[in-house]
Amino acid sequence: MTIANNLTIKEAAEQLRAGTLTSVELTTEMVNKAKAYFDSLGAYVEITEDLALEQAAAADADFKAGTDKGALQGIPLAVKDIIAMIGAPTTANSRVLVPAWVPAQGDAPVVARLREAGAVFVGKATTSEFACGNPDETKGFPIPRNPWDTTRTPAGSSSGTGIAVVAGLALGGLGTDTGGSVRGPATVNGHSGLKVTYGRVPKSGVVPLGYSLDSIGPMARSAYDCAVLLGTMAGWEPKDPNVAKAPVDDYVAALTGDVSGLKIGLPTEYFFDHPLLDPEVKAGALAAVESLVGLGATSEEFVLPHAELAKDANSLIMIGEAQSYHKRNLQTKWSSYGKWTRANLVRGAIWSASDFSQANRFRQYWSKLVAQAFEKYDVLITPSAPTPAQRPDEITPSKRLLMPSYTGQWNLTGLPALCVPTGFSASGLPLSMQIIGKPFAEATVLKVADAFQRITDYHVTAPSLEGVPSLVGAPA
Amino acid sequence: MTSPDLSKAFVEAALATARIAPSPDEVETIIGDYPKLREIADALFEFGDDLEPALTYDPLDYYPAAK
Repeated sequence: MTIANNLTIKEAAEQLRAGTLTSVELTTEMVNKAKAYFDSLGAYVEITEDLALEQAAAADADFKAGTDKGALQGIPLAVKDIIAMIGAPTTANSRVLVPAWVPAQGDAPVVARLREAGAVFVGKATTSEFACGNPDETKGFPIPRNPWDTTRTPAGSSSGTGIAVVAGLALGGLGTDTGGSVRGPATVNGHSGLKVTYGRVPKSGVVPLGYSLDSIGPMARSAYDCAVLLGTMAGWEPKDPNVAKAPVDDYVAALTGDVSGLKIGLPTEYFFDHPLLDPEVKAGALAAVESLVGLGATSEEFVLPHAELAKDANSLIMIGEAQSYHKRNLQTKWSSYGKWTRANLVRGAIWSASDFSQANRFRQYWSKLVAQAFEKYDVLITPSAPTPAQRPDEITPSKRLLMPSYTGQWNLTGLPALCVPTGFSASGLPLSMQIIGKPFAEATVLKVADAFQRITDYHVTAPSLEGVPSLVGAPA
Repeated sequence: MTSPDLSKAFVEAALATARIAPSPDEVETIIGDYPKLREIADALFEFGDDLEPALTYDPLDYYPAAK
């Protein structure tokens, strides 16, 4: 059977319960596609076919026996290869990570929760090395490519999960986000991706990047599907030192479609007026805001100063924290790191201890400015990124120093931020907006995105994979 | 601001202090990036003079029974 590339978790869950689809059929299709595009799209480091089919069969048996563990039962997912998972290796796409790290972790709590909910794991999805370096083709890992244009980057660091979602190689999955690593792939691959409030989801069992900034977030076609995933992922975990005890909302129940009276703030400075902001990206975000206003929301432009500094402070803190984790390996295994990873990490040796401390003071200063804005607005909306998907040579670490970025500011402040598609460029690349909320207000940002997705179909538009080399039909 | 010579001297000293040994090409790239890296860090010192502590630390975190 052939399953549409734009199937959502919601639709699949309905079909599984109606008996028109089995999890084994669905999983077989996803695994076969993942294998067919293994080299050309580079979504997976490892496809866990045996595990996936075993989980799918168990899900089908549960359905048959009348056991329903919830909307993720029998749903094929991708797990970023920086998150520990029983039954598969965890490499962080690196030749440096000590193999012994993995068995000591077992299932990361978030993986254990999805497993318990009956989800199916298609495989470990490609990540930028240690979540911070562009692919280095000399290291022997799959090279991730954007399904809309394989000469363009799928962004990172949760590249593989993003590719899998839009190419129909999984219905959803896990990413991690320290400066935009869930939202970047969601933006340029054309799906939904939520960076959660710091502490909303337990993050133990993840190879750290910036410990005070890291989060695990859901990635899927729709805000609805992200809500389903988050409902299982979120909540306190006794063994995790960073997770919050804040109560977990019913994120699906919050998706009422009603945004009447919602106050949207548009921070114009930097986010909407930067000279390097692509006009199509800007127009897409503003048109989306107009659509929300048409549904009863109100919007207002305002100035949130120092956004560029906030982006830079996030980078400095992230690299400082990462340098602390990697310092000894950088001394002894420098050439084992990918060239772009070490180009980023080395900056932790260039910035000083006082720079790091001052960045954290700025973090307090800017967080107060943002909190003042949220006294007036329910959500902020910005473009997700300054441009559609770029070529890999346009995003070297040196070039990225000079480019604007719209995501790290919300890691700095620990706030939830959801990126969703707003259309396509004239060249056919996805455009996206970012919806930012108050701490633990994931339900609100998901509701806003869901309201927009009820009147648009960008999030369920799939790339044509014609022309992308596939092993389908090749002799066994 | 920093001159090319100062950038080179600082980067080489910082790498030596960290005991990290990139290739000569990589060192050249870092030296080229250094003025922007320094500009970023210096700009952050214009804010937050009245904000202490930069990070919070609570010794009672390690003695839960005392809380």
